[in-house]
Amino acid sequence: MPATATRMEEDNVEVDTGKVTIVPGTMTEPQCATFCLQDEDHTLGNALRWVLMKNREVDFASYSIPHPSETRTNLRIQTSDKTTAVDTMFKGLDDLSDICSHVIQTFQAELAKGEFEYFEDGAF
Amino acid sequence: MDMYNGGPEVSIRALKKDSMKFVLSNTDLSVANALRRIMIAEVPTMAIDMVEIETNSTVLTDEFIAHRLGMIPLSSFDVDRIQYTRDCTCTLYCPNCSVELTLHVKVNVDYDDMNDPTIDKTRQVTSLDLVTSDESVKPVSDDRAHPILIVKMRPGQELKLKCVAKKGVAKEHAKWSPVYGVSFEYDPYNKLRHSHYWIEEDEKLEWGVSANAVEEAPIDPNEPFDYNAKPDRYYMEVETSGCMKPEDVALRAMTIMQDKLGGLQIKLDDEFKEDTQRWGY
Repeated sequence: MPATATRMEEDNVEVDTGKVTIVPGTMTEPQCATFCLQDEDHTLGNALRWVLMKNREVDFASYSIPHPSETRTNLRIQTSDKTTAVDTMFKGLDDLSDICSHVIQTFQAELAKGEFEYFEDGAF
Repeated sequence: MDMYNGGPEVSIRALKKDSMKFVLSNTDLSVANALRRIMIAEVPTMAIDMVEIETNSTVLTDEFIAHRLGMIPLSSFDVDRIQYTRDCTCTLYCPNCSVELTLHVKVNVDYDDMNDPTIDKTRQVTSLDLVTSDESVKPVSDDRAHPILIVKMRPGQELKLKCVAKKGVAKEHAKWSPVYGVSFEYDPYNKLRHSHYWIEEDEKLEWGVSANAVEEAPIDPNEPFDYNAKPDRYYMEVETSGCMKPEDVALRAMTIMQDKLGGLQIKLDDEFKEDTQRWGY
């Protein structure tokens, strides 16, 4: 949403069923934006918030679920002048994905090592 | 990227056919919680979703039986091969997006035994009576002596129906959850003071330490409270319904997380590439 968008234009924005949108009027400059993630909840919201806050260029990152009966999550990012909110979001998604890959790798390595108690059946 | 202190570590403590204990460490609570939430609600499995009842003269109503059928766990090792019905090109359902299971039980009246009270004439209709069209998707029951009871019938009653099992996630209905329970604990000694125990007289007497406490050093009463400390070891135990292996549930959960992130990235790319260019960045 360009900064020149008037109040009128914002009111006429159609309901977007897409996965990610910027909440109208929240990106007053490229360093800040509130992203609206459709069909996402605390699962992604909280983990993404954490990974964003780990980024040194991020001044503020937080998420909220505006209404419990709507399946969407708002994610607010404010960054330093060195980057933009959208770029930071891309980096956040990448970083969290890398963490997931790492967990998968360590999990598989651990399974292959087999250094744990294995029960064919019966209680622990 | 830097993995933030080397990245998360996983240590499997015990593995069983239908459950697994593991420790996830060196990561944030939000990541551990995301794993837990996805295992519970977003790992796809197969479950009966539509039931066409042809004959039902049992004591249970059609909807009662349909509901019971939906709850039966179906083996879902091969669920990736099956499409979601909403993504399929068919109009209602087809072999690409569903598996059919049929059930037909009729209890004949045996006039010789009818008046003999010593003979149990009750026929137990169980998950073993379901006949599947696809061997990879069938009711979970390793123990043939204790299958899942659907309804009890007396002589003369009949039940004939066709079930359509579909792929789904527990976010939509809990019957699709691959797990019966995921236990999740951190900080068994409550060093971080995240728990506030309700006590009558003595906390130590009334609240024993959990089994996971053996993995950590006991609390030193002289140590001052570290208000900057954060949880970093998460003790988890996954118990599956038997529809998938527990290690597969955990691994699948992480790939689902990646899929979600990848999906967001693609969408973000489409939506905002122009916008950022307009800003001159």
